[in-house]
Amino acid sequence: MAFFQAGTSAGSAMETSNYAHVIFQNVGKSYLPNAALECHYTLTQFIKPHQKDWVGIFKVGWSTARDYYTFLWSPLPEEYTEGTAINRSVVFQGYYVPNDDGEFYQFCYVTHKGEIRGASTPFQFRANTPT
Amino acid sequence: VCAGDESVASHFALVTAYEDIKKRLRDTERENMLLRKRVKQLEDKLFRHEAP
Repeated sequence: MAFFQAGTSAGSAMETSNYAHVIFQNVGKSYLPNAALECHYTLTQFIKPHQKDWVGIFKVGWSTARDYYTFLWSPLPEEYTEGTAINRSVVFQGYYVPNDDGEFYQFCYVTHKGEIRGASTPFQFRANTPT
Repeated sequence: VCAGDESVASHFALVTAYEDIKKRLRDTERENMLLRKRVKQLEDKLFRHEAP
């Protein structure tokens, strides 16, 4: 797809694609509805975190950052050295996550300026098939 | 952020999801095929035993 070829000529794709500056780790294929959901992610050295950055759960096919289902502020590290990668996590409480509705969702990392800097693989909320 | 950036980001996220769901479909279809084969094997075994 032409889209992926856009930024691969100079350096790694990671450096050139703004959308992979935050990497979501160990994202399940499905999660239990109404149960707390832990979201782990890595801020690569290419992004400088800000206290008003946030992580949202979006329905796949969203078109603007305002389409989030729910969100949490991304916690700043206590000590941060610019240019280093750091691991972070947030916990979405059960009453904020979607029900078993047959839809696919994904996490997205959004900066204080409203820029999307990372998107996860998709997952569903399903009552009987936790993975 | 200009609207163009957001539209590219939205497209990127959709492609990420699409590629993953496509892979899952392939895996699920493979599992479906294996399960059909297994059911067939068990049926064959069952009917062989029932034969006089």
